[in-house]
Amino acid sequence: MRRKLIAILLVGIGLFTLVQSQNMPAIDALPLSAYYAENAYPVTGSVNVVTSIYLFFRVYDTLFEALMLLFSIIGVIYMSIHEGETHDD
Amino acid sequence: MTEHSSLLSRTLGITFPFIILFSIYMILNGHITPGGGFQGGAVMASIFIAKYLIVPVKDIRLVGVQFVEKIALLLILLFATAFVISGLNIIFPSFSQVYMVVMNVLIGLKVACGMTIIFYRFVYYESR
Amino acid sequence: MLELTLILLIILAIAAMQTRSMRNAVIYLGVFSLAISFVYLALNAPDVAIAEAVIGSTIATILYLVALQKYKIFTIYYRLQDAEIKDEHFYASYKMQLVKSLEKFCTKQELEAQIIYTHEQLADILIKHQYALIVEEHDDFFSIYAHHENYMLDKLEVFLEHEPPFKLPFRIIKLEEMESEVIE
Repeated sequence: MRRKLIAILLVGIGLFTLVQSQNMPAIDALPLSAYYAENAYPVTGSVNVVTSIYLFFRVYDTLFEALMLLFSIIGVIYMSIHEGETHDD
Repeated sequence: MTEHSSLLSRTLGITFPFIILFSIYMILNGHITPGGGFQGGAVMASIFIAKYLIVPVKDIRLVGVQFVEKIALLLILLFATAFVISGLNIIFPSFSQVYMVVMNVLIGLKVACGMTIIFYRFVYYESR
Repeated sequence: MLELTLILLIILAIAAMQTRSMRNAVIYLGVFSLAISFVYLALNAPDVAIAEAVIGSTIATILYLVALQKYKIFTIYYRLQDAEIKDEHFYASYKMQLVKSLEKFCTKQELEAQIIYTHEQLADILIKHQYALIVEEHDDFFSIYAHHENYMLDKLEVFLEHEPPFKLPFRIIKLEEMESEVIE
């Protein structure tokens, strides 16, 4: 039952992402880097173009990167509990 | 590392507040100057690593740090998706700067906690 | 300036690969990260430069150093005098007392002792194998061979003097690089 719920949740997230991607405005300017360099300040109000890219234009990338860090920490904790002597306090 | 040098601890003791200031500056000014959440968080994690070099005593509670990290991840997910989906940036263009500062702070918190957990786990729990 | 730093990068990378001691290689890699962060800065990428300087030069270097501190194998070759290893009674004999105290020393220094019993000639061991210590037993004394740059040697000498005395005396011989042919 729990697995089915999780599967339904994942499928829902996928459908939601698909629907959302339909609503996104398409960028027609062909050299994408030039578009970002020109429109970073007017659209996001951030002087640093790198920050505007990783927090605005490519925000889902950043989200999953943060999730990756969590996974690596889970791995480290799992390994070191089995290697060490006792569970942590 | 049972024996620690007084030279190292003196030097790091002097530079300690500057490292903290630098990391906070880097996180808060991520949208204006080079730097940002990830870099500032890594600098902030290097504070704890320097603390290990000075006094190798485990006196922070890793469970609390893990809790902070998970909460930070949850807030990042909620805040970013809510901001992008709701389209606030089109209605209030000035709001996006606030969004960037908040996201930088959250990411910096998460990265600092994560790197501290990895380092302390590795140092204190890995036997051999 | 940029070209000079790029040349320095190549030199540092080769040095990190070619050095004999792990600790030196880690330090070379730290300097390499610092130099490559300068290259990023010169190529107008300050964000990447900061990340590289913090992660590669600080955190990775300290992690490597702690890992080296934690996991070190101390290889001890024990050269037997007789042509064959005797039964398990041999391991209980008083000659094993030296091996026991060497293991104790390794545990105290957070090293992992790896003791290899062998019949090879001393010169063969010196040339063929990576060793930290070579213990050779004689009828009335032990001789302990070690490289003269082995930084554990002074601690080992102090430790063995403060241990309960052995029935057999021992002497420590420091080997120079060239001496391996002399012993032959």
